[in-house]
Amino acid sequence: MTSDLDTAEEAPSERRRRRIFRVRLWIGTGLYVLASVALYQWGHGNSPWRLIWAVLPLLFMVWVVTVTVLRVRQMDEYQVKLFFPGLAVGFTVTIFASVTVGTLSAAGFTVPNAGWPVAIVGIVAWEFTNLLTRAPRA
Amino acid sequence: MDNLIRTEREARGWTQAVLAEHLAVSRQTVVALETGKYDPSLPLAFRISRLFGKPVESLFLPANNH
Repeated sequence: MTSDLDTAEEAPSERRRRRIFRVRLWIGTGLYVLASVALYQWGHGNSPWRLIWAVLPLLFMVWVVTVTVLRVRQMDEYQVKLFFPGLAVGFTVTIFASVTVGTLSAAGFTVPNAGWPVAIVGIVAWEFTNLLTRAPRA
Repeated sequence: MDNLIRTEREARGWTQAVLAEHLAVSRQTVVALETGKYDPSLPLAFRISRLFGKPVESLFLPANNH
């Protein structure tokens, strides 16, 4: 049974937290893309700056991870309950994909840029589980 | 577990978002509580009890099918 009081409107503080998270996430992601472009442009060859260009995108990934952890810490108990199955499935699938790539490599089958497929498989598994559990939108 | 959260909220003319704000939880959580999909932790149950000014045992009742 619904009433006029059952609107789909979010609580203001929740909306504010979500907006802040999205701004921080997009800033981190944007800087990661810029750093990756710089790595592609100047990170090759024997330049002494090569290591700096290679590490720079990782700093912004640390930023994205930090922002995500902060967001999870803001979640209430029910949101956390919905959030963790996705994380658990994503983690398990990522480990399985890593072991699969390792086993293939041991057998002589090289998988080019193997880190990216492993990451993508893990993220897709995470997001798919979030859809099933109706985990809160970030 | 059944509860009277929706009844108490509507008696005060609050939307789910307003109750969520009072309890410092998301509206999604209020919906889950009201529909009985989620049983709150003891700390949250006591926050609800304090907010409505009623004892926990009068707000939360054993489900009929148990």
